[in-house]
Amino acid sequence: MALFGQTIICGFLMGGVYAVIAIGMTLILGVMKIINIGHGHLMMVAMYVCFALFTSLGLHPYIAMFVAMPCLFGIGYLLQRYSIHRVRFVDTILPQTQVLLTLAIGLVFVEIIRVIFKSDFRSVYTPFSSKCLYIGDMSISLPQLISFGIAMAFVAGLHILLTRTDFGRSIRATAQDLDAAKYMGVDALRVSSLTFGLGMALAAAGGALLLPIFYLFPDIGVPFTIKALIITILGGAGSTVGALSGGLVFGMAESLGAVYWAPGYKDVVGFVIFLLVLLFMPGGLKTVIKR
Amino acid sequence: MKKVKLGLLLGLVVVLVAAFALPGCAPEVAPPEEEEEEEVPTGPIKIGINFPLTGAKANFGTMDWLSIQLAYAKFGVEEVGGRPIRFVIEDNRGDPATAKSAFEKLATLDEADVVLGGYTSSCGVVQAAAANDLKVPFLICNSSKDAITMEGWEWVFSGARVPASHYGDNMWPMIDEVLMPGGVSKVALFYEMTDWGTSSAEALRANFEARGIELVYDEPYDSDAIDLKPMLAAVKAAKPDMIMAVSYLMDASLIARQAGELRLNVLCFMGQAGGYTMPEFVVNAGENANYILTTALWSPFAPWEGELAGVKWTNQEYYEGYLGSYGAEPDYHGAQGFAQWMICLDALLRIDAAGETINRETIREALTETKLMTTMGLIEHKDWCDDMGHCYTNQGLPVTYVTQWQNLVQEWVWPVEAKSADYIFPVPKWEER
Repeated sequence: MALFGQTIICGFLMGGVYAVIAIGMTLILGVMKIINIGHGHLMMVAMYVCFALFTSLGLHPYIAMFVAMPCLFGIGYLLQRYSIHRVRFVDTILPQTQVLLTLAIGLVFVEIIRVIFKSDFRSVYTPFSSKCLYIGDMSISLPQLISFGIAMAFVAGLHILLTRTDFGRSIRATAQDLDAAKYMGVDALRVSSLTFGLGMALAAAGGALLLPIFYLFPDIGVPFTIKALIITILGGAGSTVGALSGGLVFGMAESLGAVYWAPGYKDVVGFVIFLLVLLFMPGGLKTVIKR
Repeated sequence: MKKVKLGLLLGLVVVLVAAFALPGCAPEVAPPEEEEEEEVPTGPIKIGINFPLTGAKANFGTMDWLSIQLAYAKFGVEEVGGRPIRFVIEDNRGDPATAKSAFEKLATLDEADVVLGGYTSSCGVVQAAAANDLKVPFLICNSSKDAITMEGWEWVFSGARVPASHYGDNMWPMIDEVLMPGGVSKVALFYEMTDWGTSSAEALRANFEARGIELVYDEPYDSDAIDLKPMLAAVKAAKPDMIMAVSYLMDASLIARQAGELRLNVLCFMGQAGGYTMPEFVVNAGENANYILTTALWSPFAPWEGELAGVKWTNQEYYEGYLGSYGAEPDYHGAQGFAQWMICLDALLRIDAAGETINRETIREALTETKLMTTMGLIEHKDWCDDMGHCYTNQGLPVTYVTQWQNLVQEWVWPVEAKSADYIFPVPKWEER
């Protein structure tokens, strides 16, 4: 019973962090219909910003996050406005040039970071990193618990932004029908640029939350892009509730897979979910939640 | 006009026939009485370097390359037989496909005379196969999958590298004499799931079973996993007396941290070298590293010393030189890199001393006769078989050790005659630390 409980706790806490990382991708995919392949790479950039602030000023990633998020927001805004938008509606030989562009942007950032920080592994280890609460024979990692709490706050904040504010309605309108939104006076370029920036800021938050419990190197982005994509498809593009539920389901599935199947093949669990959702529930959990 | 064209065509045919037929009418040229003289290379001696210098495995490859440079500077031999030594460096990023293509480039385009490389077993396997196909001497530094030197490849030399199944050669006496009498009868074995981990696990499993030790957990894991707690929770539920783990660097750190968080109490935690011996392990694992035992392939306290190219050296000097030059402690990966340059240089000097031309063939022949004291002890390239029926070619067998992290410092605890501190067993419970 303790093993099952521990497995659920691990999966649940990890799923919350996954949700914040994925929510940025789901927002961008929902509004701009672009799969941002550079998502994990830009998250990595935010992690390095936090790492640099930790080593130079001693700022804990939970505080440094509030510097990294505006930085990534700015990078995302400028990337969308001056690069991705330029190729978005242009006829090219390849139908998804903007997707390849996000990949190229991500790779450029990886190499820039490699030049600055080299390929060495980095980590932000403090005595707090290993603090735990214990319930019987089960342990709850305090950094993971705090990360989960902050993640939930971001998800709730984004949900309120999207459902209760004019800007949120503009985002949702753009996501539902770009042309109709334009006719209604929505500045689609501004909305999409701000959305891209917002998505990147949320990825930055996810990276910062991950830093005290994981480690860092320039190539860390790829697995997180894959996880974010699976969660986005699982939750349904453009849905905050979908991303949250997708993240939790994914985290839980990984955890259960590692314990009750094989730790070496827990990624397979994610890919099987990805395949099943694409085949049998293409709208993702969003469609189930709406019912 | 038609006649002119026909005439031109016929003329062309006659010319072509004459061109092909007439040379055959000439009397055969007698073969030269004297054999053609062997072409003596005059350019630099090219040493190919093929390691992961960027990417997730860069820590290991960089330590190898820095140690090779340290050895190059230490012995100060910049030319042999009037030919300057030139390094040609290829970064394979720890990717086997890149490692193979980099090796092929070094062998063909760069025309390297010998290649030093081999970190991660997956890279080492393809590099060694390419070396044998292309007939280029290849000195493996670290890649430890047993099978690399079990193929009978005559161009592959593995003096300083230890086959994965022999990492624990000095751990087994400790298990027999200390751990088993101390209550170890159930072991949890988990290992990263690439060539190195699976090759190591195969030997570990067989040796534990041969001792009647029950394996209560035996699973591979993905070293890139973000959260290893679910696996460790399953290990805890299996109630082992001892953990045996085969890990790279950051997964080792993560395992140590998360084992502490879960209070995964055992009588002892033993790592299989790899990440557990790296200086960065303690940086990333913090105090959770304390009391972890690990097999190790090198000790800075080993009394190895000798002379090469007229320069005297000691094992301790290498350790201090690396620490002084790069501001970090080396582990066995670096010592293997240092030793491999010694082996390579020794071969080049012997060829030159014998008045022979330095080329791939003579280097290969010289390497088969290597008998040299290095930072990894006395190295010879021999063909031999072990108890498991593994038969190796051009393989050395350096001495192995067991170390333990005590107060964030790596202490050599076994064999006792080479110890720097006493071992601590059983280890304190996490909640008592």
